[in-house]
Amino acid sequence: MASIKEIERVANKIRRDSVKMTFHAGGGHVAPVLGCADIVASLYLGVLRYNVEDPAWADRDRFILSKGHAVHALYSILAQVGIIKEEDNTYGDDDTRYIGHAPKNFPGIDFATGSMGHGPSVGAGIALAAKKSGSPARTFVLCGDGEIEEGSVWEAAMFAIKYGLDNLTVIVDSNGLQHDGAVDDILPYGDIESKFKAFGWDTTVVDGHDIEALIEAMNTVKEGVPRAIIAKTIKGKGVSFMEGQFNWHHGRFNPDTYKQAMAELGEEV
Amino acid sequence: MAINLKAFEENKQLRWRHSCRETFLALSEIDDKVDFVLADLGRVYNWEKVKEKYPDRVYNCGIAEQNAISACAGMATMGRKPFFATFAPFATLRVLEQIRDDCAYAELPVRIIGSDTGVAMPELGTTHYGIEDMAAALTLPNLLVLSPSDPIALAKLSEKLLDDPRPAYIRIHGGQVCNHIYSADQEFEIGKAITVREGKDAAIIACGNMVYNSLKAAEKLEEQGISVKVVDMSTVAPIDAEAVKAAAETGLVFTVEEHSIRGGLGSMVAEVMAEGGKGRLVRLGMPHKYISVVSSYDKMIGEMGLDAEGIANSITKELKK
Repeated sequence: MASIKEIERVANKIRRDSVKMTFHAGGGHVAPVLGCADIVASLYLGVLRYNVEDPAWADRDRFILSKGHAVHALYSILAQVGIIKEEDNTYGDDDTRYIGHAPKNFPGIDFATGSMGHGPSVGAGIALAAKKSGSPARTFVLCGDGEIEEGSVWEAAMFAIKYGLDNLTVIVDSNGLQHDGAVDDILPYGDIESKFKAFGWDTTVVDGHDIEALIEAMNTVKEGVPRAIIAKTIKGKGVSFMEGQFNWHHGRFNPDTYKQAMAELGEEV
Repeated sequence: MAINLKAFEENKQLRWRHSCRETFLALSEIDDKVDFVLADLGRVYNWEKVKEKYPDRVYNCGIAEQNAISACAGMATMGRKPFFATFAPFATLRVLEQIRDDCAYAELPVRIIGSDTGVAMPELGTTHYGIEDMAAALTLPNLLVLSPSDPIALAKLSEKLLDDPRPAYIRIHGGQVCNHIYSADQEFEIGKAITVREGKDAAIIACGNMVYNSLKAAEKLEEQGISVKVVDMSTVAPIDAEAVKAAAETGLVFTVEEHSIRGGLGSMVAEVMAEGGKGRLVRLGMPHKYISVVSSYDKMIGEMGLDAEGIANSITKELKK
């Protein structure tokens, strides 16, 4: 497994790549990507089993980016691990297949997402089929904490318990913010951990920027039950003027803010 | 190995809901990737019989249809061929986005059966009627929309889907006894209409259980010396435009569906005929409104002019104009 330092380096590049893509395109869901960069880096370097030579390997672990607007994280990590080429990234250009929500028919992307609340169910269906066929494939689903306001998420929660989907892990990127403001202002639903626990899931809370804790949490399986990991994160983590700001959910850089963001992330542009 | 149609041939009193069960049993016999997915309406289709024979291939998701559809999509990515069944509004309107994003856009072999279409359950009222289910399904690119006219058609079209990668919505009627049109050796092709009766004075393009009523109407009209062609448009999308144009050659086309006249078969035919420029179209179907007074199935269908007599009367009225 890669070292923590290496995973931090990969996470930092996810952040820099998403800022670059967003600046180039004139706007994008940059803060959501910065918040989950550590989760995604940890998944790809410390948890998921996949084959770079054969991205469609039938028994690979699946990753469903249910918060599909954070797709830049995928465009970055898939290039970093070698499934796609960084120079093929045409995000923000005309005639591009690098779309603003996770697209279909894209090497390394297991399911097209973008509308909130579909991922847990899709993941549960994959996990069910994997279990039935005896495949060792594990399925990971990354949701936002605004996203779990969608009722279908809780339908999936019930379904996953019924079928004992211990090969399914849902990670909630919990930054307390959604598009229009704080979750506690928009739809104050209270504690997330107790909700998954109430549905019977094996649930844990971790620091979403602690790579070691993330990897340990994601590699833990409790027999017979699905797993929920509530990852406490800071939206926009890594760039001071974005941290904790809901209006950077979808933001745009000017040359000055771009330069500042990249500098804070360690790159001179 | 071809599908076993014994159950369909032997039982001439098969109800549409049970033909769904028999179809699933027959498909499971020849393809071990088929799964039967339900949302707490399994007893409607006698799911116990399926569970008995294929306990590992039946999944009841409870009253949570959006999850059911997306889970079917997930299963399909793993090589399964799920068939989900529930009442038409819950199989379409309630889950339309899940069908759109996770099945149609994703191009996955998920098959969604919407049963008890039209006023098949007259006493249950609007929430349980299938008035707009076809219209909803027809809005989605990539989604096949099938409306088989008898159990053999349902079975054989479903069999075709086993080797077809496209997602599909299949609408069937309810507790009514199926009227038989086809023999077991009839060939079916997705996307190809079947002319079940030749005629030249007018043409009926019908789908689902209305094909039988249309045939009966044509027989009545024959007695009056009127020759009416009847076309079974079992694939409503993509529509068989050639068959529509051939029907339009008669100069007068009637569409018949147990569905609103807006947005379903009538609208699909209207698109072809309006752009084709030949022939007049009269759409027969349910009026585009919600119903507040209910009666027996036969009375409601009769009042809407969708029984054989009503269809025949509509045709003679138009021909007199």
